[in-house]
Amino acid sequence: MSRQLLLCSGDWTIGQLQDVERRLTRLTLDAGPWTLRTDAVRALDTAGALLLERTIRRLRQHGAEVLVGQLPARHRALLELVAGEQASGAASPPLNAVERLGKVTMAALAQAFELLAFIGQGALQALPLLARPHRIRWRQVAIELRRAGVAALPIVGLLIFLVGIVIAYQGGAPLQQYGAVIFIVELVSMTILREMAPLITAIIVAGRTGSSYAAEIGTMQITEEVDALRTMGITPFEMLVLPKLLALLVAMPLLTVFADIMGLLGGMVAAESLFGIGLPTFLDRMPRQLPHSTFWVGIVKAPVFAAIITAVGCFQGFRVRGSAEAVGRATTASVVLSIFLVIVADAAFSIVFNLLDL
Amino acid sequence: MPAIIEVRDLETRFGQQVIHRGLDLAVERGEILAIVGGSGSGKTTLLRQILMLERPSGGEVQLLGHSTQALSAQEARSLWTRMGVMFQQGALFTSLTVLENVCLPIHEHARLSPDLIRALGLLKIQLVGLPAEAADRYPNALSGGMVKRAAVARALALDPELLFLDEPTSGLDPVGAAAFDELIVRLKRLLDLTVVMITHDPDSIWGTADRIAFLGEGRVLALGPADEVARNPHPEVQRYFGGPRMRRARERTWKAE
Repeated sequence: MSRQLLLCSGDWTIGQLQDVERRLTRLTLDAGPWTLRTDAVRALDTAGALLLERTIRRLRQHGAEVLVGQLPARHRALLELVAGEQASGAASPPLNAVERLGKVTMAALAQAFELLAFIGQGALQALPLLARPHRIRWRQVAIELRRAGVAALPIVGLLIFLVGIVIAYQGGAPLQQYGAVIFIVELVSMTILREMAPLITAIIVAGRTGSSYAAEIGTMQITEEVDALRTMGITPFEMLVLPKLLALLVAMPLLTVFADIMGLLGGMVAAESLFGIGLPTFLDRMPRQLPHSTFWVGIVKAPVFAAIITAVGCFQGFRVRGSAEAVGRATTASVVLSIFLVIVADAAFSIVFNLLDL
Repeated sequence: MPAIIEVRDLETRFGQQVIHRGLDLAVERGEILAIVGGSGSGKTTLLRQILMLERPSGGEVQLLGHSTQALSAQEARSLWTRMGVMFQQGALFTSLTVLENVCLPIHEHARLSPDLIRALGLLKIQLVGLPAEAADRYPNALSGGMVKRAAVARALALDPELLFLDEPTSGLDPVGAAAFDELIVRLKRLLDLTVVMITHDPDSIWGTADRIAFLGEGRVLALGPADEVARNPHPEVQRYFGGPRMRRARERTWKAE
């Protein structure tokens, strides 16, 4: 058998290795005794040593005999250092589609149960407090009321005003074809009061307030502030959730009333300028054609939406474990989940109101 | 041999506040240099300036033979690949596992097969003394000591010539801190590293560092082996080294010898 020579030269450092690696994989692995020479290697680092070590191992696995005796001392030391490396760690095999589906489903179900448990726990802690209202942190409630309610007025007002214009504009055109343009009053008022005002308000509040609840509590969770509260004998729920809930229960109906006004205003502007239905006509026709319940049906939804948004936002915040990334995920999840639940609740309201003939 | 890092006449001002005033420091190749000094003496700022994360108000920093003042972005990047940094809190990317954290700079700067990159990452993880099963864990599932080790593994990913450590043993229990000190000495010997570390740990100062640079009054008040620095008559140095914890650590090193 002929003697084979593995002659290494040049830079065996991490930035220069790509060619060497490619050439070594093409190496014919015959069994003859190999001699390794690295005298001409200018620089060797752990990456180079690792590559060399793996090549030697590969040769030996093919039954070759490799002599590494005459290496410079530093190279030998590096080879010994990397020799301890095990070929690969224990990576868990990737899941197949069915397993993934199962995992996702179980996680969703578990989260649903957790949310129910959170609401139940919250109710247990909140109800006794309601009997002792002086224990409630009213100052905190006022601050939250300002943040969630007053600060949301401009954006809610602007958006619902635009929605009012769009509804009048889109609905007015077909009505005009039938010569029934006067029904634009009912169209705009019904849609805004019953559906759009509470829904748009809830969606905006979920986006700007619910998400901030999740982020605030989530950050406190990471910095162990929540645990600090617990060790001081203060229930986090009482300190962090209850003021937010009370504030939003008040703020959401008020915001919805404001949205009603701004939405109708938008509808009136469009009706007047595009279809010639003047303001007096609009204001005169609306109360005569619509029952009062149209207004109340919209307002009644607001506190329910408020409870959903607070519960979901705080729940996602308390679920945060570990890292900053989890806060981001909780914030996103709180918005998605609360808008989803708000729309589901809205659908449920529609069915109930339909049954009650409202 | 020329110094691997040379800081000349460094000046740093934040508004009215003067942090460094004519600071000179030379780090020799192959040594472990500990930067010590009271809080507010500008240790972290100095480190950040050497790392090119902050610009000094005046003076010059020579890093691996390059002046850091007039570097193009390209040159700065290639300098950064030649040094590794362990930040005080580890600064591991929380969305990546330990192995992915270590492999990230390798993926970025070397065109090697995924298999070799993985093997290299695992090697670095084992090198810093982490168990193999830690490789697939996320940083939030690691203890404080493991986070520090993982951060060193990532700093070593590209086989740097220079390793910077910001308070490597802070927040570790005494056993973990001693093990970490040993790790640094071992890595330095194995990989021909030059180590610059900020530390408050009396044991690291007396046991691990080859030389101490004592920062005070905006400059290096004393530079040399620990016992030499400890004999420096400057009152600020005396106050630092005269404390009971420092004296006990010093006595321990005597007993060890």
